[in-house]
Amino acid sequence: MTELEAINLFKCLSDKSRIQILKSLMDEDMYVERLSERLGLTAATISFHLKKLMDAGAVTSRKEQYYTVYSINGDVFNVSILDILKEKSEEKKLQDERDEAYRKKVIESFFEYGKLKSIPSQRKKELIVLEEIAKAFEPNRDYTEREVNIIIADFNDDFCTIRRDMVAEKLLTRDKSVYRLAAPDAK
Amino acid sequence: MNEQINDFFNWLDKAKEAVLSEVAALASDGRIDESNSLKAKANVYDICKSVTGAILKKAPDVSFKDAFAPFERISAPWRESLEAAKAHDDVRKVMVEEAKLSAVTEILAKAKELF
Repeated sequence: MTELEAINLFKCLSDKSRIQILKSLMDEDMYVERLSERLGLTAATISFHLKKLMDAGAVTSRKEQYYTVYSINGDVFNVSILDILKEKSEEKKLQDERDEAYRKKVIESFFEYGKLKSIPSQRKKELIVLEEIAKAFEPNRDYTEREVNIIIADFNDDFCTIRRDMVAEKLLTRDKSVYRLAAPDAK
Repeated sequence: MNEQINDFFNWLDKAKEAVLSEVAALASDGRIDESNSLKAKANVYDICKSVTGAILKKAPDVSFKDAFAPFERISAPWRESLEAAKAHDDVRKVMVEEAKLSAVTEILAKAKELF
């Protein structure tokens, strides 16, 4: 269920009559006139609420001879609220896009033809630059300090500072004199 | 005659108040859509009073039947609107038009009773 679908469902459910309709449909499938009698609402009012419930995916309908019979959509109600909250939100997606745009801008500012022009003084920008350099390392491979220096030197002559900062930012791990690219979730 | 007209107008006011109480009750009961659709019903009593009252004010000697006729003409298209809404499965409009027409039915019955 997307965030928008969840919002529409919750909005739809915030009405006593619609909750009463759903409670009735929990007992058995029903058509408009039966719900109307049972809940003391006009058929027009029941039809209105059923349309809203169907639009929100809470109810399904099927034709049976002359009647349209309505049923509760169990799949929608079996989703837990925690699962809905775990869904990546549209706002998060927008935030990710903004972060990516910022990242691209920093890389374009500090790199020229693949070379790092200078080490950013701002930590946030330096981290982006270091992450970009880290892409030159293969995962699950051991590197000697010399190999690390050679790779970094392709980007910038100050390989000592960059190497130390990459370890400090947990982009590279160092065990004695062996370096490895850190796992993505190690930071 | 004047007394009957006053009675009729008083009845319209009371009927409107009763509907507005129902509007408030539905809203506080968490039935906002039904509450909103009923507001249209409350307006019908005002329309009847305004239209009929304006004619009686302009021509005090006119018969109630003639003064009331414009309201009947105004409400007639609402039936057509209801049928059109049903034909197009416009459930919200069906609910609103039925609420308005229920007020018209009550008003016609009261007018028939008094005049």
